[in-house]
Amino acid sequence: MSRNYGGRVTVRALKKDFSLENSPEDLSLDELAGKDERIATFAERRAEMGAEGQEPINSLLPEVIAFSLHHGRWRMATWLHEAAATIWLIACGWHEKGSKNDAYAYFERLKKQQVLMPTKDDLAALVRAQDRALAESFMTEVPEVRERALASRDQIQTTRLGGRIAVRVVATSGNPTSLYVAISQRLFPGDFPLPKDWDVIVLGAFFPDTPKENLLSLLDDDFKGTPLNPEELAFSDMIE
Amino acid sequence: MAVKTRPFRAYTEDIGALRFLGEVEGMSPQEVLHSALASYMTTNRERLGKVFEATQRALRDGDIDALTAQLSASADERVAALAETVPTF
Repeated sequence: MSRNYGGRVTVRALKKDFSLENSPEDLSLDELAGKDERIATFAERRAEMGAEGQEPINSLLPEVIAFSLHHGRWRMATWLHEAAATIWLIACGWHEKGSKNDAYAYFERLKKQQVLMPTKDDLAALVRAQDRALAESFMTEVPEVRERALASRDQIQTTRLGGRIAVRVVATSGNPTSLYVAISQRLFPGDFPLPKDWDVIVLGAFFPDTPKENLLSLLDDDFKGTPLNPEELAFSDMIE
Repeated sequence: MAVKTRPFRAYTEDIGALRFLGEVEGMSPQEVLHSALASYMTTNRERLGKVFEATQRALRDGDIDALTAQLSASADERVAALAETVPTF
């Protein structure tokens, strides 16, 4: 199980359990960690959640396999969302065995009230943050891999833009120079397909000087004469 | 036109339509598919061109907000797909 996943705190937990206000869901995990020590603990130790031998929180089974993270007497319920490559902090409470306000009883009540798990608002905030991070990585990674391809002609450069879009890039050594880009149609991590129009966005990044009228003629049958991986589409254009 | 072909999976329910349209139009199923694809490209050329050009501009200007907006155009669909993966009880 990959533990290099991002961490998010649900809006409900931010507002109710951590008493944070003013759209805290739009803050990064680092920013939230600066506001609350318990969230700082989650940010530091989330990768340990669900490690071998760790027991899930009994009161939430079988529907929710969540793990408890301790910060002093505080208990935080965390849930691994594989499809989103995210570890969620879904609730936090004070542990006092036998008390009706005990954290684990509180988690169970939230589950019964159906407010424990991430909502569509949480997922929308996650997607907004992921898109922003991907846009930032486009700004640096696309020029870098393009430059590498031009510096090492005929050698295939492989990268995963923002950790999400797998591309292979190669520039030919002849004159004129052609740039080939193969784009995986799978969005990493997980099993979702590349979202609508993202192929075109990647192409706009790799072919900054190609007129839009030529867009559809960029599509290629192969990747510089070599077969494509089953999940790839290939594109090419002359660039110099 | 070129006859270089490759095996391709089509939805079972589309096979009949491809054959029927081929009969009606005097084309092979491959030609019907090719024609439908060309029609799709024509219809979508302008929209895709705009996305392409807007991406080029955003990167040239270092405009992260504009690029984020491009990527987020499909956000609703992705949120809906992710929501399907959250346990309900």
